[in-house]
Amino acid sequence: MEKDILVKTTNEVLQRLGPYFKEAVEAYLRTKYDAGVELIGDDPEEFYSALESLFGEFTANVFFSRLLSELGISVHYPLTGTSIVESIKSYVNTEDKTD
Amino acid sequence: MSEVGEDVIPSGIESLDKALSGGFPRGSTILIAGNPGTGKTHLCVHILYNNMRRGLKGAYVSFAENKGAFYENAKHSGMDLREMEEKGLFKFYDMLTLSGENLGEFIRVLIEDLVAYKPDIVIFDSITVIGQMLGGTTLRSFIHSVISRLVSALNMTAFLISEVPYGEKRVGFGMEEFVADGVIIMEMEMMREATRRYMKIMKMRGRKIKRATYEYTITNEGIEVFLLPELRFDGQSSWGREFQYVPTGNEKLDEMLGGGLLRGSVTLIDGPPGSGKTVLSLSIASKNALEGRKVLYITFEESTAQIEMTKKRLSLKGDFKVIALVPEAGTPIEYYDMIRKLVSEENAEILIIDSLSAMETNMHPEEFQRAVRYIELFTKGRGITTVMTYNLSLNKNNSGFSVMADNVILLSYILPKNPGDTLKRTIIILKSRRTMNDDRLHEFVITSEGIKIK
Repeated sequence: MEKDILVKTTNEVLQRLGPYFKEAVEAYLRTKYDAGVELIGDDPEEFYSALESLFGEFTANVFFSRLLSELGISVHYPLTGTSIVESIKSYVNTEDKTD
Repeated sequence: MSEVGEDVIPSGIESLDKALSGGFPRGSTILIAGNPGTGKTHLCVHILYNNMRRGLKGAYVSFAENKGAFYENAKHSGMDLREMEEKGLFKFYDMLTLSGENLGEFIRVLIEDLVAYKPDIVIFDSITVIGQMLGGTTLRSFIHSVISRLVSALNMTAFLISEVPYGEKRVGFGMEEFVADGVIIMEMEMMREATRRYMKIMKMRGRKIKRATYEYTITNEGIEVFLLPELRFDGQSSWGREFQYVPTGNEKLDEMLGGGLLRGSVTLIDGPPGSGKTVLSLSIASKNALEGRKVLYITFEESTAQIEMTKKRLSLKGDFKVIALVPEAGTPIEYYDMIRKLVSEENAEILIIDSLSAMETNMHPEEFQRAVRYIELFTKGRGITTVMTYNLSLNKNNSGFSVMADNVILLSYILPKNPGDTLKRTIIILKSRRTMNDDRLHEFVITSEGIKIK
C-alpha cells in the first residue's frame, strides 16, 4: 500500500517540479535500469542516484524534500542524500512490517 | 556557523585585503559584477576556499556549472572542495535554470537548507540568472528582503556575482548595486597586446577604502591586486640618511659624479646603440658585487650567456644575478610588479635594467613613463640604487621621464671621418642631483679591462 502511494506521489511531485521532468526521469530510468518510477519503492538509493545524475544533487534533494513533505514525513535540514534515502527506506519498510 | 568570530571576512588575498582595509564586512551583501573573463567566479571561489581553510563554512549556489565540473575546475587551481565538503565546511547547490513559478520550490528548499547549515560565506553565481528567471522586480525583493535579511540575521557574507555583457556598462537590472552593501566592478580592456584588468570598489559599507580603482591580474591564488608604490621617507630610504656612495667601477667616473652613485638614487645611462651603455652597466654591477652588495641585473636585450661572455671579455670578476627577460606586452603595473618581485626575491641592493628601450616597445609612451615612475618610486622607497639604460635620442617623446632620474650619464660617439681613424666615444654627466659633478665632456675607450675615461 505504502509503495503504491509512494509511486503515485512521486509521479505527482515529478510533474510539479517542472516541465518535462517526469518524461526525462522516466526515459532515463528505462534506459539505465530498465525500470519505471516504481524504482523508488524497490530501490530508493538507485532512484536518488538517477535523479542526482540527471539534474544534480540539489535537485534530487528538492524533489525528495517535497516528496517527504507530501508523504507527511518530516524533513530535516540541511539535507543530505543519505538521510533522505533513509527516510524513504523507513517509509517503505513500514509496509513490510504491516504485511 | 563556525566559531571564528570577527566582524570582517578577509579575502585571504593579501593585496586585496590591503585594498579593502582588512576584508569584507560580515553580515553584508557584496555584488561582484563584470564582463565574462574578468575572474568573478575565480575570485569568489578563492575567497571561499581561503576562509574554509581557516575553519569558516562556505556555500556556493551555482546556476552556471554542475558539481562535477565545478569541483574539477577548482582542483586545477589547487582547491580540493570535496575535502572541504567531507569536513562539513562546504556545500554546493547546483541549481537548474527554471521558470519563475517552478523556481519557487527550489528557492524554498535552498533557504531552508542555508538557514540550517549556517554558512559564514555564501556565493550566488549568478544573480543575473536568478533575475532572468524571476524578473527585475522580484529579484530586487529577493535580494533586499530575503538574501540581505538572512545574511544579516545569520551574520554571514553573501557574494552576488553579476554578469555584465561585453559592451554593456549597466549592471544587471540596474538596481542590484543599490541593494548591495558592497559593490566591486571588474573590468578589462586591451592595450595593444596586453589585457588590463581593473577592479573598481564602488562602495563597501563599514570599510575604509583609500582608492577606488586597482589594476589586478588573475593568478593561481585568485587574483593579485596591484598596490601602487608610495614614496615614504622611512628608514629604508636613502634620502633620510647622510650621503652614501656606491662605486661605478671606474674611479674617474666616480670622481665626475662627485663620489659615485648616491645610494638609493636612480641613474639613467643614455646613449645610442654601441655607445657603451651595457659595458658601463656591467662595470657598475661587477664592482658592487665584488664589494659584497647584492646586485640584480635585468637584461631585456641579451641572453644571460651573452652577458656572461661580455663580462669575461671585459675581465669583470664580480658575481651577480643576471635575469634575461623577453619584453612582452604588459601594462605598466605588471612590469612594475614583476620587477618588484624579482628585486624582493633577490633582496637586491643594486638594480640594473638594461634597457628600458626594449621594455618600451610594447607600451604607449605615457604608459611607459608610468611604468618607469612606479619602478623609481619603489626602488627609492626601498633605498635600492638603480641604474637604467635608455636611448633617449630615439625616443624624444619620452624625454619627460628622465626628469625623474637623479643622475643622467650621457654616452655618445663621434664617427671617424677619414679611413684609418677610430671611433671616439664621449661621456658627460648631464645631471647629478645633490652632488657637485664634473660637467665636462670626456673621451673614453672600451678596453679589455672595461671603460677607461681620459
